[in-house]
Amino acid sequence: MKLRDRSTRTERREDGGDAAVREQLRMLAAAERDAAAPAHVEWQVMRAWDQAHPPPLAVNRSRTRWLALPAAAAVALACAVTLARFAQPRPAGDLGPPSLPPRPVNALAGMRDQMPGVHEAEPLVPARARRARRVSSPPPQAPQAVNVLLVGTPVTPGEQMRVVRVRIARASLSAIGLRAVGTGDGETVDVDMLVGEDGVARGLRVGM
Amino acid sequence: MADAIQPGAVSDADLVRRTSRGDRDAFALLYRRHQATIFRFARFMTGCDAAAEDVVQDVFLALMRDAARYDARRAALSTYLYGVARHLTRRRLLRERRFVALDALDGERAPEPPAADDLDADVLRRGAMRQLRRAILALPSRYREVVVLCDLEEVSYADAAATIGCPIGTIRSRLHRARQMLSHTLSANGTESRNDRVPAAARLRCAV
Repeated sequence: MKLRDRSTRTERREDGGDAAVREQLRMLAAAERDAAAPAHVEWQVMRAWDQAHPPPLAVNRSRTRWLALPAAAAVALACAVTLARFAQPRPAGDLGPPSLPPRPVNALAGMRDQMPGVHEAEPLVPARARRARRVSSPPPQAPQAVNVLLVGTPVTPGEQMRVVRVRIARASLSAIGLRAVGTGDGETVDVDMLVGEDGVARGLRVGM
Repeated sequence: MADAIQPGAVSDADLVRRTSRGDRDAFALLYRRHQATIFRFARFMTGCDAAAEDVVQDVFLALMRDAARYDARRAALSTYLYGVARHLTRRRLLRERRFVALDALDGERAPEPPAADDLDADVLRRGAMRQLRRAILALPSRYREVVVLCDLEEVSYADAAATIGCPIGTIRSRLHRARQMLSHTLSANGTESRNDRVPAAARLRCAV
C-alpha cells in the first residue's frame, strides 16, 4: 500500500514536471504528422530496385525469339556441312541412310530402258573423286553409289521424260534424309531430276 | 509474377515475403507504408532534410537486399525499420561528426498563411516549435531517440526497447531524463530569448 502511494506520488510529480513538455511534443508531432520523404526518394529507391532486379524473361522473350531463327539456321547449316564433309563414299550396295526404304541402285537406269526419250545426264562424280581423277592416271570410274528417290506417280510406258540437272541446297537433301557429296560448292549439290511430261518430278538421283 | 495486392489486406510480413521473392509491387507498397515514419524519425534525429532522405533511401535499400533477414515473429516491421534507420543515423552522425546546421530546421514546410486574428498565436506557436526542435536536437542521441520514438512517433515502450535494444526500464528512465532536459533547455531558452540573446545550445551543438 505504501509502495503504491509512493509510486503514485512519483507519477504525479513526473506528470507535473513533464506536462508542459509533453504538450509541446504532442503539438510538434501533430505539426509533423504529414511530413514524408519527397517523391524523388521513392523514384531513386524504385530505380535501385529495377537495377537490382532486371526484368525477367517476359521482356527478352521476343528478342530471343528473333535471335533463335538465325541461330537455328546457322546450326542446321553447320550440321549439314559437317555431315557432307565427313560422309565417306559407300559401297555399291549401300543405299544411304537406314531410314530410307531399300531401293534398287540403278532404278533410274532401269526406268531409262523402259522410257524412250529419257536422256540421263552424265553420272555424278563427287568433286573429291574428280580431283583425284585429274591428278591420278587411272581411267574415270562410275560413281561409287547413287541415291535414287522416286516420288510422285509412276512413270507410264511411252511417257516422255526429261532428266534435268539442278543445283539445290545440301540442307534440303538432309531434310529428306539423303546425304550427298555431289558437285557444287559447299552448300549446294548437283542433283539429276527426272521430270515427267506434266512437269512433275518423278525421281531424284544423287551422287554419293 | 505475383498476384494483385490489395493494399489494406496484406500484412507487412506477407509483403516482405513477396519482396524477398522479387515482387516489385510488394516492395513499393512497403515503401509507401513506412517511408513517412522513417523520414520523420531520421529528420528529428539528424535535423536535416537531405540527411533524412538519404537515410530513408538506405533503409529501404537495406530492406531490398536483406528482406529475408526480417523475422516477423521477433518484431513488427516498423520496429525493424526503425532499428535500421537508427543504426544508419548514428553511423552517419558519427562519421560526419560535425555541427548540424540548425537553420535547416527553421525552414519549415510552407505554412499556410494564418488569419489576421490568429497571427500572433501562430507566430508564438511557430516560435515555440522552433525552440522545441532545437532543444530536441541539443539532446544527446540516446535521449533524443527515445523522445522521437515514444513522444513524437508514439511508439510503445516495448517497441522502442526492441528498436534500441535495451530493457523497457531503460526506455522509461531515458525518457524521463530527456523530458527533464527539454524542460530545462526550453526554460533557459525562454529566458535568453527574453533577453534577446542567442541560445548557447542553439549556436553550437554536437550532433552526437
